[in-house]
Amino acid sequence: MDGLTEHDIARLASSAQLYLDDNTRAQFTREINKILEYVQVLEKVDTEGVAPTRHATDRLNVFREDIPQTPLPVEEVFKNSPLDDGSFFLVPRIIDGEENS
Amino acid sequence: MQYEAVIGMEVHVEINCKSKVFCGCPTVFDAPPNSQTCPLCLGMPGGLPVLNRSMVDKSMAVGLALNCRIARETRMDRKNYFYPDLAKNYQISQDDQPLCYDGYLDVDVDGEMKRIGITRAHMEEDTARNSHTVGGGQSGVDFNRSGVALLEIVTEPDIRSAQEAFAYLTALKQLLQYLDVSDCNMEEGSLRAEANISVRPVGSDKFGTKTEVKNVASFSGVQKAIEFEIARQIKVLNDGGTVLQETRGWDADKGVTLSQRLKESAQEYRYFPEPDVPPIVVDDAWIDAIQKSLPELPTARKERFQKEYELSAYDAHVMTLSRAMADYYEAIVKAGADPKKAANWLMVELLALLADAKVEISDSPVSPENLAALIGLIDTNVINGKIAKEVLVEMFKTGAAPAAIVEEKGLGQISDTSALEEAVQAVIEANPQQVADYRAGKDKIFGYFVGQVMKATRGKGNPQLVNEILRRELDS
Repeated sequence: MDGLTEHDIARLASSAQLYLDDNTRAQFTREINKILEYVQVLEKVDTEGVAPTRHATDRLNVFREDIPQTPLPVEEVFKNSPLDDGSFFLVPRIIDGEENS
Repeated sequence: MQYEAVIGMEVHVEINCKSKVFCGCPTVFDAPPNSQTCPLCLGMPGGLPVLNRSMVDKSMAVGLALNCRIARETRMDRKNYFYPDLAKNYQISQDDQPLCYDGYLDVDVDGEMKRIGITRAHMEEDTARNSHTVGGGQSGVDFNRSGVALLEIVTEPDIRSAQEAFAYLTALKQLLQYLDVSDCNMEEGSLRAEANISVRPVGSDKFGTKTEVKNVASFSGVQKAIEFEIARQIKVLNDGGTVLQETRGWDADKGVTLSQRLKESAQEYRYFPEPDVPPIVVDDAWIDAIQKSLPELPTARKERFQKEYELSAYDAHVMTLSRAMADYYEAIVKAGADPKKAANWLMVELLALLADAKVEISDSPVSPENLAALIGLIDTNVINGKIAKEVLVEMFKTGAAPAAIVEEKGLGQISDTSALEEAVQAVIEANPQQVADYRAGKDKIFGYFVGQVMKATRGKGNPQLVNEILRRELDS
């Protein structure tokens, strides 16, 4: 395996909305490659014919019934909020049309 | 050069579960902001999402009604992106194993059936709602919508015109309402439609660069936005330019689409399996149970109405526009009314009253049984059709039974021969000149006498009897 380049790290940082200066980017590139080297030991395991694991548990079909529960009281809702007006969480103005989903 | 449009639709529909898709918070529309939230849908660390079984049932019902295949093994995935409406920075959705896939919907486009392929329908959670009206340069976020059950239905690029897109949306909404899985209210945001639009030279099998049109508040808005966008793209190409891949918003006031976001750097969502929601395995028994629970769907019901009640294609179409309408119609027939008369009274008279009062058929103050009783009063000559219309207006106002209104207002039809003979005699005596004219051969004046007798009986004369007596007296 060739390892990650600084360019890869820059792209990941941008996806995660992290700002890295030149020094930290170089540092993280080294550190992440070290971690990757460490887990490369797993490549030695023969996985021929083993289906990919998508979940760590062997449980299936865990559901709840469609019964409404009492929601959190509004005072509780805003307890951890950095900024709100008692009705809404307030955030820097959102530019129209950037909505997702 | 001649161009053709290639359009695919993405519809997000809120499924009407009583609680959210991964937590038990209620889903009442218009509740005070942030009053229907809990640590899970607020994105607090440590919450454990548990899938609402009813969401899977209802999504499967939609899939089956859209002729989809149902995945026997499926799972939820995390779709990662940053946005204030997404507290935990990922949306639980489905990536490469949607619950429903590979289906189609046949839609009626101006009398021609067109088959629109359904690529997939997958389960996900809705995001919070942003409001831009808060002052001070900030936006407000309301998490009541965060975690509401959402089904995304994606078509193949099979749609070729704005009109076809409109027909597809109309048929899809009708189907969803028949299934009773969503109220499909675009204004309240429980149904949201986006169109992916591109144009290409006629005959080409390659796709042009597509734009995505969002922020449309009605089906007719979607139709207009698509029409505009097709014309805009063709003009760009004819002017020697290139269409940019971007998201465009529909400005309904100006009637134009406007660029919102260039999509050159395609969003990377870094999907991976949601570790907190175990895989979903669907067996035959589950699919069979949902299949059996499906109601009769619009197309089948329309065909049955034509056959069973001998309605015209148009009447059957109108009678099955909504499940509520079809149920109402069948209730009138079941209460004993003649099927054709029932369709006529419902379509012509009651729907007009409902439209005037802006009342839905499901909230009609006139019950189907009472409408059947009204038709019965005409059939048994208690009242004539003209009086019946007045009685219906009164029924609509008060909700009273027709017989009670006829009795109370003394509207019963006069079928008493001697009473009518008296009225006829009086009219003949009061109009000697007209009688002379009639007897001299002016046949057309007969209608005048009928009118006079009806006036004298305040519209209550049995029209057939009035005619008979007048002929007898005048022709003698």
